[in-house]
Amino acid sequence: MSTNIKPILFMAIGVLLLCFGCATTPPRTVTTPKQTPEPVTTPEQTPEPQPAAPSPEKTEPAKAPTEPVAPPKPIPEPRSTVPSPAQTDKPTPRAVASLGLTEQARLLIESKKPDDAISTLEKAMNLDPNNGRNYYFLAEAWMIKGNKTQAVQFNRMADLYLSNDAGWKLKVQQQKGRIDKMIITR
Amino acid sequence: MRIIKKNIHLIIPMLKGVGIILLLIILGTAAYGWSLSKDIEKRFSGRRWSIPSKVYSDSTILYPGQEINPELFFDKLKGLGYREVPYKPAQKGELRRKGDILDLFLNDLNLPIQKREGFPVEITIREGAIIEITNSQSGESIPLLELEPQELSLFFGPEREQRRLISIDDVPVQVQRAFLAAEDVRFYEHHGLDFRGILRAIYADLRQKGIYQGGSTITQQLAKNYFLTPEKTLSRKLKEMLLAVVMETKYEKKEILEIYLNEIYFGQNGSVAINGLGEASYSYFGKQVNELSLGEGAVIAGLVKAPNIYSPYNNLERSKTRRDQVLKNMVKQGWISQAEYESALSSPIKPTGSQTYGRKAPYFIDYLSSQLEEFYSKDALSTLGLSVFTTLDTQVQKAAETALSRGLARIEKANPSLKKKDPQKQLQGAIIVLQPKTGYILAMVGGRDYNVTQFNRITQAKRQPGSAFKPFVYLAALDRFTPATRLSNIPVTYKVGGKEWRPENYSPIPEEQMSLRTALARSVNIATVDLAMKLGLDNVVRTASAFHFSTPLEPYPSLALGALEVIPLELARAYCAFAADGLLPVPLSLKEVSDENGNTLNSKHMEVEQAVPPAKAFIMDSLLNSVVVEGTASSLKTLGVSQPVAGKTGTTSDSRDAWFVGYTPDILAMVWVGFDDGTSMQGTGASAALPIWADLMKNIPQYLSGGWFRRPEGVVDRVICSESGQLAIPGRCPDTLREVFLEQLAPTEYCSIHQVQNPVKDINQEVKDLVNKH
Repeated sequence: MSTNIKPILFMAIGVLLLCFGCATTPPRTVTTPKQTPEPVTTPEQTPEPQPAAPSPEKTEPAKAPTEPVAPPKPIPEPRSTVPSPAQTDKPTPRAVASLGLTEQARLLIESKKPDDAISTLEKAMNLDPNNGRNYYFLAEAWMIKGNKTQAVQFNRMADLYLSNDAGWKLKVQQQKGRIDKMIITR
Repeated sequence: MRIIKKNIHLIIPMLKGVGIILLLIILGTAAYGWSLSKDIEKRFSGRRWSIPSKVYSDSTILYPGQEINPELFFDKLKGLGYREVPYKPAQKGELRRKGDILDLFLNDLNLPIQKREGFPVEITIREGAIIEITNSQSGESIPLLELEPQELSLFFGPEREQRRLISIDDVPVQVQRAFLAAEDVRFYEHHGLDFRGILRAIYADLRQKGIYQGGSTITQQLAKNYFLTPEKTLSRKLKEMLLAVVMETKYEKKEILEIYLNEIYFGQNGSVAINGLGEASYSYFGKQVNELSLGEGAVIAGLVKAPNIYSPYNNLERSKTRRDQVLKNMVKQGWISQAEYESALSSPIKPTGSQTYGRKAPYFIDYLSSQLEEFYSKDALSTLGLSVFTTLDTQVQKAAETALSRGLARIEKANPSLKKKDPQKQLQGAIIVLQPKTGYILAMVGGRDYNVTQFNRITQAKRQPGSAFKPFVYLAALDRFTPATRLSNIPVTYKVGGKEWRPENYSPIPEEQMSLRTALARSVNIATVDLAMKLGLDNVVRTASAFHFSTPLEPYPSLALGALEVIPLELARAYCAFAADGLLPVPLSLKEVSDENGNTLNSKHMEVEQAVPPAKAFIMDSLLNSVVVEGTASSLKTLGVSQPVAGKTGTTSDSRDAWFVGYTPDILAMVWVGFDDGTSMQGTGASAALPIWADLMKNIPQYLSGGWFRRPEGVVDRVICSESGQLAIPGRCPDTLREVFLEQLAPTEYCSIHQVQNPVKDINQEVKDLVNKH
C-alpha cells in the first residue's frame, strides 16, 4: 500500500514545488537605456544564463555548505524581441513642433478649410508620426469633405494612438459615432 | 516689227501660256506658304508668351531641439539663394554665420495655404542640433519655422529636352545684340531674307562651287529648324527662304527673336543636347539668362555658328577667338562702347564646368511629370506659369544621391572587375525614400547618372526582390503561426511542374530547426520554403495581393524566395504598410498646383488603405527588427546606425540584385544595386546595399527619432524558451525570450524540453540538500 502512495506523494510535492517556482520571481521586463536598443545576444551564444541584477550574486549565503553545492542558478533575464526606447514624460521637441502644426490645422478645420487642414496635418505627421491627434483631425477634415472611407481609417488610427489618454479616447469614440452616421457619398 | 506682227497668232498664246504658268507658280507658292503658315503656328506659337511652370520642393520645418546635418543644411540655404554676408543681414536673402549663431533674413514664404513676409531670425546651432530660433526684431522665441520651398525645375515644352524657356524680356539687351552681331546684323531691318548677305554668299559659293551655307538670317535659321531633318538641296533652300518670308509676315521681330533664342541648338553637355538660351546659360555659366554678362552672352552667341567647335568646354582658345569676333562686330555696329568692348575682351571665360551641371532630382521630376499628366497637358505646363509643389526634401535627396554615388564607387573599388568602361553598362543603383505614414516621396534616385541614362530604376524597372520578398510569406504565416513556431531547415526536394527543385540556403546553416523569427532574421531559404508550402502558396499570393503589386504573383514555390518581378517603387510602398500600422499609403510626389497668383488649382492628399491589421504589422516590425539586431543586417550597428530599425536584406540568385529596405516610424528607405543587363554584382544585400542605406541615414539625423512603433491591441507578450518556443519554465529554461504574439495564437503550453522529467529523482536531491544544510 505504502509503495503506491510514495510516487503520488512525490508527484504532489513536485507539482507544489513547480507552482512555488512559478509564483515567485516573475520574468522581468528589460528596460533599455536612452536611445540605444537593448544589447541582444545572438542565439548561438552561450546558453548559460545571463546574470541578472548584480545584487543577488553579491550576497552569497553566509554559511558555506559542507558539501560543494552549486549556488542557486539566478533566473536569466529574458531578452525582449521588441526594442523599447526610453519613454519620457516630457514631450520631445519634435512632438512639440508637430503639435504646433496640429493646432494650426484645428483652426483651419474650424474655418471650414479641410484641404488646407489636411496639408497641414500631413506636415505634422511627417514631423511626428506618433502624434495621435493628427489622425483625429484628419478624420475630422475628411468628414467635412464627405469622404467616409478615409475618415474611418483615420479615426481607427486615432483610436490606436490615443487609447492611453482618457479625454482623447472619449473624443475619438464620439467621432466614431459621428462617422458611422455619415451617409456614404463615396 | 514685221516678225512680231507675222507671228502674233503664235506669240499671244505663248504669252498666255507663260502667264498661266507664272500664275500657277505664284498660286502654288502662296498656297504652300499658307499651309506652312498654319504649321509654324503650331510649331512655334505655343511657346511665344510661355511662362514656364515651376516645380518646387517641399518646405522645410525647423524647430528648436531638432537634429540637423549642418553641412546639408547650409547647402540647402545656398540652394534657396541665401547669400553669405559678413555683416548682420539687413535684407531678405542674406545670412551670416558667427560661431554658433546663424543670422538669417528670411525670404518671403509664398505658399497657397500660407503667405508670410520675410523677417530676420537668429538660429543657434550647436553639436548638430538647433538649440534655439529667435525673431531678431522682437526677441521672441519661435517654436516652429517654415523655410520656403526650393525651385527644382522649370517645365518644358513637349519635346522634354534639356530646355528652359525664357521670355525675350529676360534677355539683357546686350546679349540680344550679341546674337545679332554673331548671326544677323541686319535682323531688324530685313524682311526675312537679307539680300546683301545672300549676294555675298552666292559670290563665296561660286568661288567654291557649292550650295551656299552662309547668308542665313536669323529667320532663315529658324526656318531651317522647322524642318526637323537637315537637307542641303536647292529645293530645300528655296522652301526655307519662303518659310522665312512667311514668318516675317506672321510675327513681329521681337517674337521671332524669342522663338529663335528658345529653339537654337547650343551644343552638348555630355550626352545631353542643350537647346535654347535658357538652358545654355545654365549649362555654360550656371546662371539665369538675365544674369549673363556681355562677355558671356558673346560666348554663347558665338557658339551658334558651330556649337561643338566653339564650345568653351571643348576648346577655350577657339571660344575666345569667336567671342572676340562677336564683340568686335558689336563695337562696329555701335552697340557697345570702346570701354565696354575692352573690358569684355580682357575678362576670362569661366565656364561653370560640365560636371557641376546637373538638374535637381531629375528622376523625381520625370516621375512627377507623369503624375501631373493627370491634371495638365505638357503644353499647359510650359505656358501657364503654374507653381507645382512637391513632396521632395532636398536635403534627403542630396544625401541619397551622395550615398549612392559613394557606395557604388566603393563597391567598384573593392571589386575592380565590376568597373565597366562603357558608362551605359556601369554598375547601377537606385534609392527611394518615403515617409511611410503619409506616403510622401522624400527622395528618388533612379540611377547612377541621369546624364547617361534617364531610365528610372525605381519606377520603371522590373527586378526580382529575392529575399526582400520573404516578409510577405512570413506575414501570411502570422494567420496560423507565431514568431516562436519551429520551422524545418532540413533540405527537401520539391516537385514543381515535373521538375525537381531543391532550395538551398545562401550559406550553410547547421540547425535542423529554428524559430520563425530566426528563419526570417537569417533569411533561411529552406525554412522559408517549408513555411510557404505549409501555408499554401495560394495563401501567400492572397496575402501579397493586399499590397497591390502591378506585376503578377504566381503560386510557385520559388515565389517564397522572391523569384518574381516587382517594380521597386511598389516594393517600397508595400513595406510602408508595415511601418504605418498596416496602412498602405499611395506614394505621393505632387502635393498641389497653384496658378501664377497663388490660388490653389489642384491638390493631392495622403491616401491610405488597411492592408494588414495593426497587430500583425507590429509583429512584422519586431521580426524585421531581428534582421537588423541579430540577422543578415546586423552589421548596421558597426556602420553607425544604432537607433532601432526594421529591415530586410535581399539578394537574388547569382547576385543579380542586392537590396536593403529599412524603416523606422519616421522614414523608409530602399536601396537597390545591380547591373541593368542582369550581370552578377557579386555581392549581397548586406554587403552592397546596406552600407549605402546606412550612409544615407547618418546624414539625415532629423529623421531618426530613435522611437519604435506603438503596440496595438491584440498583441501580447510571453516569456518563452528559446529552444522549444513554448512557455518558459523559470529556473529551468536556460535561455528565455520575451516574445510577442497575436493574442489568439499565444502559446499556452510549457516547455516540453526543460520540463521536470523525473520528479522522483529531483525531489530526492532537494530533500538531500535540505538535510545537508542542517
